[in-house]
Amino acid sequence: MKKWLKVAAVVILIFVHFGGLIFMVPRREIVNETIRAVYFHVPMWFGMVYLFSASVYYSIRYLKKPSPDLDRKSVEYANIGLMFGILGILTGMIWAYYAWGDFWHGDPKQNGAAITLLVYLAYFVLRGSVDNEEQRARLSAVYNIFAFAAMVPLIFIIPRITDSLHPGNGGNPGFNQYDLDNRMRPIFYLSNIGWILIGVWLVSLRLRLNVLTEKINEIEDEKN
Amino acid sequence: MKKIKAILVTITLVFCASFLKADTPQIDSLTLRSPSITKVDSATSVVKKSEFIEMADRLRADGKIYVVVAIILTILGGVLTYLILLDRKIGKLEKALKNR
Repeated sequence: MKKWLKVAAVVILIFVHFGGLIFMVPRREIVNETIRAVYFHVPMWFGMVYLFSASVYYSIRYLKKPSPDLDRKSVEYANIGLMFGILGILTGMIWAYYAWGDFWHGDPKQNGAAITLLVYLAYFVLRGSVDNEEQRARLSAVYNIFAFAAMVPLIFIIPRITDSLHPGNGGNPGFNQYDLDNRMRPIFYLSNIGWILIGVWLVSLRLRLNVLTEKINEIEDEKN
Repeated sequence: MKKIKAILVTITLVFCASFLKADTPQIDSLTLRSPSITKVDSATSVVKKSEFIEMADRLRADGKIYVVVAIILTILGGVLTYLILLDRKIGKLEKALKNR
């Protein structure tokens, strides 16, 4: 990852955390001040969707032309994406406790998000259960495509065609004028960019660590 | 690569600029008066209170919101610093392994 992107991520996030708490937001019923959660909770999901998309991209490329490098990339993207998803669901639960009255409301959005996370957890279970490296890579690449295909309706479509209480859902298209004011857009988009950059940064660190571990293993093999 | 860089920087700047422009007319709401607190009923010309939507106005008026901002920025700064240090550490390891 380029250095200037890392600098941009840090600067953007500091600006977003300051502006997200200080700058004006529209007054809305029910959500009241918690509308600011849009700046912090929603970017987790944007980040997750970006990282999972990257993961499935590398999976497809792996299936076209297998290489351990592509497999590693798709795993690490899915890994950090899952972390973002867990953070998203936890922050959502905190918000739901105050807005809906319970941590787990059983809302289609919550259930869909939970199923998505379980589907992706199963991806790692699958990887852990196959010993042969090539087989593991190929099986998990195929499964990754399925997981991504399951995520899209679970998070984006089902909550919109049913009665989800989640802002931006329940028959409405997302981010309409009632959910996201023009004043909020710049910080909201910047927050998404910032968190996606942090996600990619984390992925790059994990990839580098993987390469290091492999090199050290090679050296140790030579010694023996 | 330079082109992409320039485009990204421009987009970011436009975002920031649009934010400033969008926020300026809202300065009167800094005085904590919601535009919909009072409304004159045109039929009876009675001033009545319409739905007042509660926000954390007190916290802002007291300036205590800055305490929260300071706390959150400290944590964010700590985590980001940790990330940068980790990045450097991995970089050093990579160099050490290369020079073997």
